[in-house]
Amino acid sequence: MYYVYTNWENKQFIVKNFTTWIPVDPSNSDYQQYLSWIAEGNVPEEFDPNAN
Amino acid sequence: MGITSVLGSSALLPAGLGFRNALINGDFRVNQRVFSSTTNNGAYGFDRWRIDASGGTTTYSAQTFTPGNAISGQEPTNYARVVTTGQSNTNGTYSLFRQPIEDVRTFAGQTVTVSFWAKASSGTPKVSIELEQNFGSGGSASIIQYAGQVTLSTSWQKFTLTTIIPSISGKTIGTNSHLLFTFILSGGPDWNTRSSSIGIQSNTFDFWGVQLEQNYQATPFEQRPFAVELQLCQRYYEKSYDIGTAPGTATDSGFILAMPGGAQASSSGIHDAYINFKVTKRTAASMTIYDNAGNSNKCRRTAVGSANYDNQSIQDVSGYTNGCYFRSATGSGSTHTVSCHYVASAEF
Repeated sequence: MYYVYTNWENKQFIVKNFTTWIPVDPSNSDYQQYLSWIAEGNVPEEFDPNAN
Repeated sequence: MGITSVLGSSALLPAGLGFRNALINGDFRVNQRVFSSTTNNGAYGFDRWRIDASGGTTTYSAQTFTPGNAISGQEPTNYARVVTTGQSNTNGTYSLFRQPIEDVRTFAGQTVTVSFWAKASSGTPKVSIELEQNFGSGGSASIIQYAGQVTLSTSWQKFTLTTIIPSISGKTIGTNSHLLFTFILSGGPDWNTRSSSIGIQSNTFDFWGVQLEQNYQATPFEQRPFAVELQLCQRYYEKSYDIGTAPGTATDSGFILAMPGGAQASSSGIHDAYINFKVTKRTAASMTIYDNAGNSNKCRRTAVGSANYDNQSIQDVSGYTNGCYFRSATGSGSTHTVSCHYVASAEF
């Protein structure tokens, strides 16, 4: 499961399974997998850093 | 005149031809993940080596040699085992053991030799070897080069195959290009063309000393110093923990003081932190941060001279090629430092 989080600078972060933070970089394989997951019609949930 | 003619086929090559093995960790010495076994498709175990599998069960595990082992003239530490079971002879079924080699330019247009030791638990199963030139996202279509097939026995044997990697003249290289080295262990009908009809095989496959070099014959397995091999691996995966400690273990050993220079945060609010990597990564890294107690996605704050506070929330984790920035989101007490363990991954 993927989550997205936007900080005070309006920068977006992608978090996988509440553990791994994925950079927005086309060379990163985790980011590629995230894009594939989105292309399948999935929607990430909002991430709350203090909730977990 | 070739090297064989000058030195004889069993002669060692002269010094000065180091780093001839394009495969990293071909002797499976480096196991930063401290993995013992996995059945997950796409999972890396030993550094740089992963399984890709579909159908039935493919189990990839770490095995240990005993001194005086059966590989003549060598005293290796670990070997890789892949077990295939329960697959049916249908399209889309396969078991692959592979390593992506960065940059599709690698050995393009050159004669290369693959050498490795292998054995099986029973019978005489086959192993096919494939080299795929993957031009990456936005690049030309992949070129799949079948390198050959060998038949294993139940004893360790060294195998050698020589092939020519196609030229990349006229091709477009995109993002994440690589040369993908693959042992094909089992495959359904749709794998027949690229594996010389290897078919569905249920067996136990053991590998050690895998080498891919630009040469028309195999040279002895290249024994690089451990520190060198580790750094080669760390371009793709790095951790703060001691080499034999699994990520997520509760330990202080190796932890990073993420606010260097003795600086101390002064309040209970957000604190910025930065980690410098040991080795520059292939690409911006995916990051997993742990506190010293082993909790993932947490860090430790320390009230210096007073108390440690594990399980502190983090946010804004940004992995780069040379390091990682993150924030300790909240915390209690007065003066604090921020510390953590980490795993940085830039694998394919």
